[in-house]
Amino acid sequence: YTALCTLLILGDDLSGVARQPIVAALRQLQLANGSCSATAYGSENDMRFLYCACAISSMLGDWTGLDRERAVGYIMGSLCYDDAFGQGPGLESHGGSTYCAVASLALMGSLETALAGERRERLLHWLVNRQRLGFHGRTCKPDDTCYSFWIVSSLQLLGALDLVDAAGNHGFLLTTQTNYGGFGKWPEYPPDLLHSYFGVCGFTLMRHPGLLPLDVALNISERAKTHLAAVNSKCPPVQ
Amino acid sequence: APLEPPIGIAVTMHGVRKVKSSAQIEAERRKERLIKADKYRGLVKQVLALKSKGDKSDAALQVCEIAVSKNPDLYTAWNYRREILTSRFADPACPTAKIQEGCEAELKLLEACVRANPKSYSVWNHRQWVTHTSPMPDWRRELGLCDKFLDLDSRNFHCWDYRRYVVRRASVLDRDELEFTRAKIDQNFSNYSAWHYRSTLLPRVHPALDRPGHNAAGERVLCDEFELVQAACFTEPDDQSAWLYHRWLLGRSLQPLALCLVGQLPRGAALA
Repeated sequence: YTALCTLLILGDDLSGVARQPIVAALRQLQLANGSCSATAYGSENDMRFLYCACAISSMLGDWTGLDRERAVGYIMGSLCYDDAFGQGPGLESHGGSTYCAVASLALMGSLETALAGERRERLLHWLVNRQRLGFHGRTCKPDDTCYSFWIVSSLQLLGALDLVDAAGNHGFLLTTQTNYGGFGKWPEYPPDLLHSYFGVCGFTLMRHPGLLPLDVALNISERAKTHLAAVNSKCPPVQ
Repeated sequence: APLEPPIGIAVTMHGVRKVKSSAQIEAERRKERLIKADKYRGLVKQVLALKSKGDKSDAALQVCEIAVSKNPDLYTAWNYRREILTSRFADPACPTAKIQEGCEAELKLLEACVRANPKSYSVWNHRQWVTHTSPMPDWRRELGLCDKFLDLDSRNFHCWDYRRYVVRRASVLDRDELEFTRAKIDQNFSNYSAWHYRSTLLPRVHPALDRPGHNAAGERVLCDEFELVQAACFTEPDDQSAWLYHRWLLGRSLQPLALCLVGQLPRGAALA
């Protein structure tokens, strides 16, 4: 996932990428319950790797490596009693896994059918309640920079970006930005690459001037997404 | 561990204000970090080189042990250890006692690593493999480990997830786990992870809750739960955990509308 994103961001035409082996690998990495693990050598299996598999399939324009029905089954089975998504069935709902679930459904083209009506409303309710000033990923946890991406992206995918208190979010992110650049996870915390990236994304999602718009489902800029479309238009369609 | 700040910047970490360091001390610290990073990179290179040669010796295990002690998230090293141990355990000449010994040693290493990073996916995942493979796993000790780490951080979902695995393997009664969640909630009403776990256990321990129609048993359970939740709401009114659990309970107590009787009067007839 990250390798493909990086290539696209750098403007590569993916001609050096062997697509078939990647798709074949996805087939190996999806488990009977619909989720995916990270490597054939063994790892835990959860929503994170399922998202990666969906993003890879979407970027390669080839869904033959993933059983989408089973994947949707796993995702919906991971809905919690509080109407958001955990990493897997029975697990606690979390902003990161919720993003992975919602984005995966969007990439698979199942978002409107899977999350409609009351179910969508209740998920929106959970997402909106993750904002105090900034956003946090689980009930009763402190606001953390990166959830300005995970939660706000989910809201955008569900067509509810207007429910975000932009001023509060903006204000919070300014407190986690450090004097020497970058963002930390909490105010006065030292910066790291992950939170710096998601801090910038946080501003991007609120249409901060001077920042390239984001394709939230794939988590790359729209510029890179346009480049991907151009690359794939030159490829023969998948049989 | 979080990054060290560059020269001359004071930073508050976990509420302790660091004293501004002189340029000299910072330069020395930077040098130390570079040496440390270099050593670690060398270690990773060693692990990968041995792995690609298929080395299954004690020396390889030792290199991996040093590597994960420095970085518990180094998946490759854990997977490599698993490959070596798996091939040793699979040898028909390997006695069960040796397998047990190997697993115990692995658990000891894992415990040291999880102290360093209680939220490492790879550490908890590897521990699961070890207890799964062990001929005589000590489930009581595993539960004790979970108790300890949940005392340190009641929201550590890695630990909660591992606990659920242990409970399944050790056939711990749902009823006992329900009691455990009660104990955690009594300790601290603001324990969302405990409330969440309770939400999965309650319907299993009291299946009466799911039977449609009026039933006294289900009603009693719900009333007790509502009382617990109310206590939580009074004690910590700003905490969302109890309110969300309350809303879920309300959803459970709704009786679905059921058609009892459908009739049609003959044309021209009137109800007497």
